Amino acid sequence: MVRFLHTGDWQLGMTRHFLPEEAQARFTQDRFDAVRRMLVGAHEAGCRFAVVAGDVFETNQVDRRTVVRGLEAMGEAALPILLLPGNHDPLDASSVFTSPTFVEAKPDNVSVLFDSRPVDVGDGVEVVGAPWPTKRPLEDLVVPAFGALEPLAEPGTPNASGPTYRIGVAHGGLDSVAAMRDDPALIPFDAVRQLFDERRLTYLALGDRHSLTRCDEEGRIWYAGSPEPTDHSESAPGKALVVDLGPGAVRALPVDIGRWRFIQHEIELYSANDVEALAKKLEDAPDKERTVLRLVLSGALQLTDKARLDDVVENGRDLFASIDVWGRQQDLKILPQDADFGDLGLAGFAHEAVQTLRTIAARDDEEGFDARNALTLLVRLARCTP
Amino acid sequence: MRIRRIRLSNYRGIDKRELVFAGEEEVTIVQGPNEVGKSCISEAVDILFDCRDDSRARRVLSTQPVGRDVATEIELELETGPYVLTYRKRFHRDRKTELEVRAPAPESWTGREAHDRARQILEETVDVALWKALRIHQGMAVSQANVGQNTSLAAALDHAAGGLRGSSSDENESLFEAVTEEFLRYYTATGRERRELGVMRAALEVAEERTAELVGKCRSLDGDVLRCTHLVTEGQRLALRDVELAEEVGRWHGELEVLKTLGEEAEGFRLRWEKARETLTLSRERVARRQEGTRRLAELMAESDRIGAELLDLERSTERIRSELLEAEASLQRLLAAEGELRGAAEAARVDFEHWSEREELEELGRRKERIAQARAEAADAQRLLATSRVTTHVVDRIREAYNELLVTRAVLQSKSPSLEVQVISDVELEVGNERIQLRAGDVREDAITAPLDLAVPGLLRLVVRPGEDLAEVRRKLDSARNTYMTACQEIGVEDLETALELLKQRQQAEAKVAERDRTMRTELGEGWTEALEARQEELRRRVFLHVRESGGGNATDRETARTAARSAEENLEHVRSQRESTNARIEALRARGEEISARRRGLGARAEILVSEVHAAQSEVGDVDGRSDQADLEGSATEAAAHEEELRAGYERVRAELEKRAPDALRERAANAEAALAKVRRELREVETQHTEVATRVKLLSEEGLAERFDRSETERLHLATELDRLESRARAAAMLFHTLRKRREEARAAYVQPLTDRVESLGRIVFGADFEVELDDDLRVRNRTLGGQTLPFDSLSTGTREQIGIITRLACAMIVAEDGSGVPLILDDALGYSDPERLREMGAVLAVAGRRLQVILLTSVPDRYLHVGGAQVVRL
Repeated sequence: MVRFLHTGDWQLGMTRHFLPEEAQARFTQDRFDAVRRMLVGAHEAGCRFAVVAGDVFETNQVDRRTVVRGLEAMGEAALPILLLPGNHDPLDASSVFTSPTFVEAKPDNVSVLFDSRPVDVGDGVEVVGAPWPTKRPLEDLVVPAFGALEPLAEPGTPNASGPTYRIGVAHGGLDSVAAMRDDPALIPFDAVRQLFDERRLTYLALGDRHSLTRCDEEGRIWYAGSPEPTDHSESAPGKALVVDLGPGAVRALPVDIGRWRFIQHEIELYSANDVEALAKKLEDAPDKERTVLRLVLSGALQLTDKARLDDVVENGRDLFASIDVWGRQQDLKILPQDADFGDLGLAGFAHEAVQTLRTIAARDDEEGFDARNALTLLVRLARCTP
Repeated sequence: MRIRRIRLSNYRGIDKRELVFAGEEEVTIVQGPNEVGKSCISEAVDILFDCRDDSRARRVLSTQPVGRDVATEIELELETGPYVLTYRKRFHRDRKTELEVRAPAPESWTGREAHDRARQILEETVDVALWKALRIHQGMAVSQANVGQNTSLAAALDHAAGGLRGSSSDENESLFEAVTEEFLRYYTATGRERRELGVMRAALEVAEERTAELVGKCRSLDGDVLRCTHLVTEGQRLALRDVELAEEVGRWHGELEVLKTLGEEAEGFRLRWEKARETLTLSRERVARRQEGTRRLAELMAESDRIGAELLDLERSTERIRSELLEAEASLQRLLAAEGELRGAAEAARVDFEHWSEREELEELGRRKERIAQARAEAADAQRLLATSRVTTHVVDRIREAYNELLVTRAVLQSKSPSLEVQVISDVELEVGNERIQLRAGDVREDAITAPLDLAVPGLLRLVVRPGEDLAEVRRKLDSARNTYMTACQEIGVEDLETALELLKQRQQAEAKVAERDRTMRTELGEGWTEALEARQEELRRRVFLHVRESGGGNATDRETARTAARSAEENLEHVRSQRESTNARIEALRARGEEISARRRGLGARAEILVSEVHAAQSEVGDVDGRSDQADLEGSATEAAAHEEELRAGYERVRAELEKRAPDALRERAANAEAALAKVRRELREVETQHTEVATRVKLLSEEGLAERFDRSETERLHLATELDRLESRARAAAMLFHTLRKRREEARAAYVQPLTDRVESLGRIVFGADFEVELDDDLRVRNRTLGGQTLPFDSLSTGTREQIGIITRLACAMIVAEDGSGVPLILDDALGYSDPERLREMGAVLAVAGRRLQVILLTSVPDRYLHVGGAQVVRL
């Protein structure tokens, strides 16, 4: 049995614009740490080598430091690592894999699948890559790369001279699971299955989807997902696969890697209680500094509660990696109520001013928005004024 | 608040005094003389509430009567709010503080607690600030009360205005201050944005520019990457095309080889065909040449005969010309000899004539020299005379004038002088002066007596005649004229006019001689120099000498004979020369004709020689052709050669047709085109490779700059700045909207609550000033303008009395409004209305009486008449 690590979509050097500077620094560092942790863990788990199925770097134009730090993390692992250029870091003229920085800093255990020539990794195992030559290839790269390979010998065949197992490493959308059906570079699932039927492949390690995805019933075609999540749209990120190849059997075991979380809460707010419930929810959230929170708010709140909500969100921003209040203004209506001002003891001209602003605040235009903010400000100042 | 009673003990100059004030809302007039302690009342109330009994404040210490160590005591009974109380304090000695509250619930306090409780009740029920602001103290300047910021008044006014400003206006003001402060975080007081927003916008602009720059670089890099990919693809395409074209070029080269072989075969045929054609031509030429040679020989022979005959004629002509020429040449020799002789004679005659001419010239030159010498000698004499002569026309004229004057004067003298006539009767010797004159009988002698005349007949008589005295003047003139004349003569050294005239004549003659010499010199010398004349004379002498020495003077005797001889010799010579030239011409003509005939003979001789060789050649050629074969053989060979030529031509055309069938030009064009295409493809391939190298190098260099991450960082900063700016602008807009709304409502409210006070002031004021009295209050509730009879004046420009009256009316109006609110205070006016006239005092009395119905008014005065007209007032006399 041969065990190896299937991972991909590290996208080292990725920037999330919504993250504040300090959170971005943490995000960046944690992605290097995830690679380091994953590779060391893989070695400890008995993996003979690791294949990275594309998008090692966020782009070909990553910072020199990103390249060096990524390679240093890989170099710390005591197992061979085979990198596949993907759509983010294709083998075009600007390829990071041929840059002087990469070439100079590349540790010995790291190699790049520059073409589709089989690489012998020992123990009768061959690794064959289908690297991306450009950002936007106009055809499937997998079948042409693997279709011409010699069929594998049956495991246990006496005096078999060729390899026993062959791992294809590829990147891109598989037409059976991809959302974008009109991409000319989609990998045809049926043709891939035929490669297996013709004994040209034992396992196909795919990259591109950031969510862990099993693509066939036999469990021979997998997306390992990204080791750290990168977006709210990902369903099962933060994973890697430890794959065992044995005679007649392939077993891929997902392993949790990521520490970051992208969480989206869709919450309806109609009262102070709802706001307080949200506050409690945020307060109870674990590992806030590595949590990117998206609040999709709807409902209607009076001014006082909106002011409280603003406080809750602002306080949350100090604790969470990021809080993004999402959605349209009209989804969460702010309705100034008498109760908002009743306990403020406002009378005379102040009372009149409030009435004027409330009239404007009822509108849905920009002035209405400003008026609601003005009223919220008034409530806050009135409460702070002795 | 209402003061019911006040009692003072040992308070300044007051030993003991108790004042009980009127009942419900009345006017109390406290009247008394100065120094009786009226002003102490309001002071005592303040001290009672403000100062503890152990206070060492100056105003407390000053209450103790001077020089008396006694305790000062103040006791006050009052109603305030719900409270009814008695409050007393003793200062300086046996200090104590007591407070008894009777309503609403009995309370009793002493000491510090009493003080604090009393203070608490006061502040709870009275607006202390308003109370103090409304007072008028003795001697106080006439001014308006400062009640603008007064809470009670504001509340009362707000209440009167319907609560627009709010019952808790302090809170509103605090809120407004907080909102203003918030507004000023983003805007200046004048409403301009603060720097913070501008700075953030500028930072955003910088971030946007930086991001745009990086986007540009990234796009440029992406473009280059794409270009690289395209160049690689293009390179691959061109490489394939290169292979295809190389194969095509190979194929065309094979075709061209076949073509070459065919070409060589055709060329072989062509060369042999050419040779056969030459042979054929040669054969045909032989036949023709033989026919031509025969004809040519006959022509040459005929021409040779013609030339022989002509040569014979020419020889005869030559002989005749030669004899004529010999004869002419002999004649010429004779003529030449005669001409020589005649030329010598003519030359000798000419020389002779020249000799005589030169001799004449030499003589003439001698005469000229003499004339010149003579003229020069005469001129020299004349010049010497001119040099020594002082006589000029001018001087002579002057002498002539003096002489004429002398003659005139002398005539005048004589005419004026008496005369003495002596008639001689017999001969007698008469002595006249020293002179003896012999006179004959019958002689008559007359003398003019111009000077004393001494006549004597010796031995007989002596007669002296003297002219009269009247001639003296004439004589002086005469003397003067004589002197002038003599002086003029002496100047040029002559004795008299005649001599001078002679000398002048000589001078003029000398001048004429000098002029004559100049003319002679010009005539004789002409333009020549004297030296040239000399040289010419010398040359002529030499030539004459030589001629005489060499020829003995010639045949002629003079110039004319010489001229005649020379002319004759020349004519003879000319005649012979003419004959000789004529003979020469004839000889030349004969020679020319001889040359012409000689040339013709040479030409014909040469042609005859050529003809001989041509005849030989023609004979030889005809003989050569004839020598090899006869005409029939020659024609047979030509026919054979024609057959061979035809055979080879057919071979050549056959191969040639084969070649044409393969379209060699088109084949070569296509081959050349394929080669050109191959070269073009290879050139393009090199260009693509070069471009790829350039772009790839640029891509590599830019790729190392980490552009994407730099862009990400820049974009993140831009987004964060934009978000932050959006938030800041949103907050600023909210603050601005809140501030402006609040301020607008506040200003409206202030305008509204000023109205009740304005109404009250005008209501009271109309009692004093009439029905058209109007005032305008400012935000501080002070009267800004007063309008009366349609005329509006600023408060400060009103008279002192009017200002005082309006000041009191305003206080009364404030106090009345506050009183209506239930938190009224007593109005204490100490020594007021000092500036009002009696009429106004009457009307002010009515005003005070009206006010007294609403609040407690305490008037302190030492002039009771001022308040005489306050109806219903209680008077307390001290």
